[in-house]
Amino acid sequence: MNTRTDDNHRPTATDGKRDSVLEVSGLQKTYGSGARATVAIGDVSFDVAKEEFVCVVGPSGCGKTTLLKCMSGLMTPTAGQVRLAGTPVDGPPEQLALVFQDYSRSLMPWLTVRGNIALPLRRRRLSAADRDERIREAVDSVGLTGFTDHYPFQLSGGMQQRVAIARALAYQPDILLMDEPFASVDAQTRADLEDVMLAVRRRYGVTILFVTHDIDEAVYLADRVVVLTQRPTSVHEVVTVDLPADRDQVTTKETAEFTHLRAHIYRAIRRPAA
Amino acid sequence: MNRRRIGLILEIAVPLLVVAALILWSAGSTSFYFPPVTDMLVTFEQTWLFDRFGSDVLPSLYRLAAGYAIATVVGVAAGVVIGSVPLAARAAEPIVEFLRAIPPPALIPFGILVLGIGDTMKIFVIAVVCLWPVLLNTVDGIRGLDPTLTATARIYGITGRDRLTRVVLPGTGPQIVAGMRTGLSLALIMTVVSELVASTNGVGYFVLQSQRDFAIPQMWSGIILLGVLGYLLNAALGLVERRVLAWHRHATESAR
Repeated sequence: MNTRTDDNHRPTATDGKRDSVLEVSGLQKTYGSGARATVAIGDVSFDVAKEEFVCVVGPSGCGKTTLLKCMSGLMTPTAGQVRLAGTPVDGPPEQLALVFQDYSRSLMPWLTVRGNIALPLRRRRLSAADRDERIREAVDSVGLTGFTDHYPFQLSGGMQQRVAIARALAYQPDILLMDEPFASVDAQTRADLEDVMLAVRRRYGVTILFVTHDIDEAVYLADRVVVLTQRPTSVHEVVTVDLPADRDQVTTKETAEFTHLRAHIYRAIRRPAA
Repeated sequence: MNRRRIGLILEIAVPLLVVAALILWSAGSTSFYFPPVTDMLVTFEQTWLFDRFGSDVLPSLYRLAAGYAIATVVGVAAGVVIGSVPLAARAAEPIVEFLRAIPPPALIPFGILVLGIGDTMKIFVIAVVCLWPVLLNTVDGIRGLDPTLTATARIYGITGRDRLTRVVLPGTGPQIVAGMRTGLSLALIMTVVSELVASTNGVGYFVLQSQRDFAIPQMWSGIILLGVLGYLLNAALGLVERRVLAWHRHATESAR
């Protein structure tokens, strides 16, 4: 294998004895066949440990969405494997949730906030009381208390994405995948939503794989950042973010460590694996 | 706000003015074919409120409702299958296009032959006519379902019946209702046509019979009644739509 997983960052205490939730090994995706074939993903391998927050960044058009579709079972890879809690993924696994970038099209516009969050819970076969409690907690933790009977069209974009996050949290998946979830909201809302993610991560202890093209966002949120190369995509580097768990939009972002990591990843993306 | 009020006033006042103008203009009419509008209205009141309501209006409405209901149920069901299964679409499309191309009144002789001249034949031709717009719109709606929405359903394991009743049908609702609206006007047309050809009652039959008896005000009153019925049926469907698809109206309004 020619990927360079975890081979050029400082080893941390958790390395080696991590309890992997998601393992991606030798993942490859080719569209079309024969002379017209385009290799979207060359060879990608990495893993996500339990309760870890991993961000995936890469140059635009590097196949981040394809990678996410393969990991979530929406798309079958050409080669390689994705394992969730040890089980190979060959369709959307029951213990996985996905938050899409396009919140306005992933919420059911004919259902209220409560209805949207409750819909995936039907397969969980909860009692009405358990279900309502899960919905209440999820709604509270994303700051939408009092909006459960609103319809998506009555909410702003940022609030709609909060609904999508609450829906994923109430579902209580083993892993939460997020596909550039804050790419279509304004900067202030984006900062708020990033802090919502840090808070719910702590509250739910959920394992998160977060795809973004925003390097600041990746460093701010992640325990580790997976840096991808241009097409055909492979893993350029996995960067461990040694920032304290308590993060703040202002103070964290002015630390030397943050600036250093940010610059490091910037260079890595601009000059991919030479 | 002011603009809206003016709009509302115009909406009510203009039709009233048109009717008033017609009444004035036709007041002294001695034409056999165009009797004074007041005569038509008096005849309308005598005929339809409610002398012949039970004998002609109800049978017409029954046929229309039955044919329309069958068409809606069959159209949505077939549309869901054709829209969801690509192979079914390939198989069904040529047949649908052919059947749809047949001018519906041409089916009446066949209907009479096989089903007689009773209600069954009329319901059959009404259903056949209304079927296509409902079916084709449903197919369009299913194919137009947002991929992000269907991916969301897949991710959260919303399958089978839940997927149909909680994702697919609501998401296709606006198109289904659009097809039903087209179907409704066709249903009224076919109700009248089927009653003109072979019938012993119904509003269409009454219009034709009045013409044959040279009862011209009666004939006109029947025509007016058909207009009123069409208007009311459309309004009723509009009300249902406002209730069932409130989310769609609001969502498209707030997107503007």
